Amino acid sequence: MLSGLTEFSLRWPRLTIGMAVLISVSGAWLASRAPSSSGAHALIGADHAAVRELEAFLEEFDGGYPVVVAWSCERSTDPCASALDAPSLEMAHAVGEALARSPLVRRISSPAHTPLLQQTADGMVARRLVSDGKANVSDELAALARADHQWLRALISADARVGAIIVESMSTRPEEQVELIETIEASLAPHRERGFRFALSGNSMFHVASQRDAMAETVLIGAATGTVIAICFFFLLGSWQSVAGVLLTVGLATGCGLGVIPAFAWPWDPLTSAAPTMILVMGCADAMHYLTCYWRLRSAHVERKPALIAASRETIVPCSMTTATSVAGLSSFAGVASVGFAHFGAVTSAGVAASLLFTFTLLPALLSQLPDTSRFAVRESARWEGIVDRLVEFPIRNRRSVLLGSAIATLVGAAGLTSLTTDAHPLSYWKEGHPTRAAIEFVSNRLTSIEGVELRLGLPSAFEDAEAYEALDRFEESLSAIAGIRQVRSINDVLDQSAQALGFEHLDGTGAAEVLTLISLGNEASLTPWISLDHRALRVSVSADPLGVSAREQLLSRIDASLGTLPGAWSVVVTGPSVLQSAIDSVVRSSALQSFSVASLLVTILVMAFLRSVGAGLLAMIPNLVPMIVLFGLMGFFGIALDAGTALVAPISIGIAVDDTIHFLHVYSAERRSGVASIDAARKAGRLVGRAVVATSGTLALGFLAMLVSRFQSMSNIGVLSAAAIVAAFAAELLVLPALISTASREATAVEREVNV
Amino acid sequence: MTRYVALAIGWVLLPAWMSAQASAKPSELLQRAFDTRYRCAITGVIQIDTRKGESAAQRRTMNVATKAIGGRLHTYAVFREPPHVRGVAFLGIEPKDSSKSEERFVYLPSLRKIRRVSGSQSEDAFLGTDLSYHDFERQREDGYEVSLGGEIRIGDEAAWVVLARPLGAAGFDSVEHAVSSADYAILRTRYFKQGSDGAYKQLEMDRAHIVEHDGCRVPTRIRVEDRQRGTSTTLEVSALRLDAELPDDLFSMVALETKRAIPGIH
Repeated sequence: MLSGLTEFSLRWPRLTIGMAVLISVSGAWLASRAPSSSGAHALIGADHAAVRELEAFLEEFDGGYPVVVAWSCERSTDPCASALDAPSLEMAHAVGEALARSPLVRRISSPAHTPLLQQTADGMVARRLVSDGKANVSDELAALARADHQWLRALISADARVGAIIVESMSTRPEEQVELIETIEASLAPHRERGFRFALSGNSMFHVASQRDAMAETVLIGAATGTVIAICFFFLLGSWQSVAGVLLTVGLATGCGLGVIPAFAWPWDPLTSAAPTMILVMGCADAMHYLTCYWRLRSAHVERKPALIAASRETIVPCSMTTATSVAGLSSFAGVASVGFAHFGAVTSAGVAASLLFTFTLLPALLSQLPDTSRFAVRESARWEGIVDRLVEFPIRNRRSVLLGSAIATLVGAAGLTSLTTDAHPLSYWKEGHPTRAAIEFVSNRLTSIEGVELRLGLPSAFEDAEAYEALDRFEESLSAIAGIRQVRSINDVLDQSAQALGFEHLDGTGAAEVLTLISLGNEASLTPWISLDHRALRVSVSADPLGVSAREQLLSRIDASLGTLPGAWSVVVTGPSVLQSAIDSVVRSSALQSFSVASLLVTILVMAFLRSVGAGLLAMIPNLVPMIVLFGLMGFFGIALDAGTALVAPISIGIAVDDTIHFLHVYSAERRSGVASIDAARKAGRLVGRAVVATSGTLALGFLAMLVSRFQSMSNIGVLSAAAIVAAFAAELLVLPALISTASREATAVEREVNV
Repeated sequence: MTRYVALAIGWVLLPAWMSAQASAKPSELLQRAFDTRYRCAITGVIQIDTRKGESAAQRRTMNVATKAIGGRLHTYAVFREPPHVRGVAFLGIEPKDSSKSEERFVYLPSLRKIRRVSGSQSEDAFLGTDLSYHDFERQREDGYEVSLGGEIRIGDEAAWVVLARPLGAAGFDSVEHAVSSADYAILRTRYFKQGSDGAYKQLEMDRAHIVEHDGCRVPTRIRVEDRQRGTSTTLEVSALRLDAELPDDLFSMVALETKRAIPGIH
């Protein structure tokens, strides 16, 4: 059917080009208007239990997922000398007042807003360091602030040279998070102009920044990839018409693929942002095979239009099959638990399928309209034959060495596989020195970490009725003893501090109840984060050092173990940013494993169906397993962890790797069916598709390597690993497969003898 | 016949009268509304129920007396419910300087001592409810930039919409009062954040539950909805008296320490 479309497109070239431009530009334009999503909502979905639990927690305690806006007074050029001096406090007050009016903000804490409880002769007074916008801080108050357990490493650093405005958002919904960060940035702008230096941190900032950076990088990487593809095609085919045709074909196919985003009302997320590059790179493979065939025909003096049609007829079946395997690899993401993976798979699948359609319609139409200057390309085509001949002969003549070499590579890869880790550190998404990473690291070192666990303790009766005060004290002690925990805070800290100010020598249950009432009359805002409305649920907030995946799991299991110190009738919900991150990690791990398994199975079935033989299908999959083992081995050796980005590589690579096998076996099978001996059939197949295989693999590998320009470590890793997998697949294809055929062949012995002679 | 003529004259004159009222300065309108609400001394039992979702709920009950002494509003309250705070007594005194916050004193039975708590801001929630001190404290129009936002109907009643933007720092951008054009009773109050069309907090004072005495109009039922917190609060006043003779020394440290009973409330 597609070759019929080629003829149609050659009959109506301008109509074909116009329709393709219209469809893909519309798709890309609509996609550009789609909202952004990030974090847990993008990766595991809003309905995941961990997301719902955190949302309920935020609702109950008015916080637990903050954006931390830190400012520094450490340089002589800073407009402040301390986080507690007048310029700092008045700036924090102005920023807080501007943000407090935003409907996206639940609560603001800062040195300018949060009251300090000060003991007086007849009671206590809640002091604020700013009144009516003017700083009013004495040495006594500054000392009180630096000694306050609720302030230290939350609102001010130990040396008070760094301060923080903590903005509690209304929800974890990505669109609101994005808007909140924009609102915060706008409120900081006038103070940046005055010379204040700010660093934004917190989990929502982490996720919004990852999405924002990924989107910004999409254009950069797309441009780099397009340039690399153009250079490769020009170098390999020597025809500017081919370069222009391919760039337009895959570019417009990318637009079509992106059209899936608005069609299903999906948002952009960091994974979907990688789709355009993937489509650009994967989409050009079919074009390479088509053009190689076309120029081979042209070098045999076939006229342009008949050559375009003949190339279509010759390559359409294997190209359809290779697209089917690529789409199968990408479709494996559809059934996984991660929403982001599923969206990425669907968008990229649509783009790759559009590339196939455009390769056999738009590309011939474009070539038919461009000036026909084919001499250079024809000469280039002839030069390639010598290179390909040598490549094809090598594994046939050195099959034992080749097989031994591939076995060693597989074993080495398998050894590296044992070191493969899923222990990705959240900040490793960015390269060292990236502003976002530097900001989060700065806040983490001086103030609070993005690592945090929130506990909701459900009481059988109101806090004042039970002996909750004492039980909570014991629990806090057991948590504080866990290695890696920086700080534990709860309602008891507020009560202890107030009791001290009120002159209580020892606080018991009754005293705690009265102090609680007193605080709620004088400073209710300090209670809201720690106790529920009905006083039957308490919040315990745990701040920890920044952790990798396994260390985070260990921390969570130790916290779980400490729950045993709580009274039996109390219920516990463990939530917070670290729990959410742990859920994301878990879903990513299981999604990666599941999608790779499904991709391998689907691709194997497709190859078997294509070759119409179970045995041949299994044999064809052997050279494709080698690159996968090498890929995982490389990740293990170089300590590249399996994260949301790198988890994409294996299922995609298996889909791409098998493409060369299909092209090779398509010709090989045809030759065998016409009675050609298997070694000669392999030689013929190698010669016919070898150039395209070399060109495609080289282009794809270099295209993926263009992702190295990204300042996003995860994106760079995808590029390097995909390139490595493609190079390994290419080597396996042109070396291992002919060597296997040669070994399996009954003529093997005879060939050896012939070679020896 | 005379009745019909009178009615017809009334219909003709009413719009002119309302228009004349509306032509009064918005700040004067607001001042009259505040006077109507806060001028009289009152006693009563206040029950405040706050709900969040289906499960979490909180009830606070207290005996309350308020009286203006020397031009400053004094509030005296003794807690009845919940049991763990029964006997805790509270005294609040409006400051002389309106820019300062209210002075608050609390008697703690377990310590047998009075402790002063001060420094909280008027937007802080009162006892964890949706009501803030701002909702209880006497309001003064000179703290706002006031404008008239037109006329609306609340139920069957015509009301002016009075918009007030705080001149000093506040947790809200503006507040909108619906003031009855008939008797200056405040029927609805809505709080707004900057750049938001919808009110984040709304107080409704149903006309059926507004008690009138000597020019004072005090709501005995206030329903508060805080859309930002997702909570709602109902305040109900029982045993309300607007004509109670309250001795000034009820609003003293001695009364607080002895948890003196409020006249007329048991």
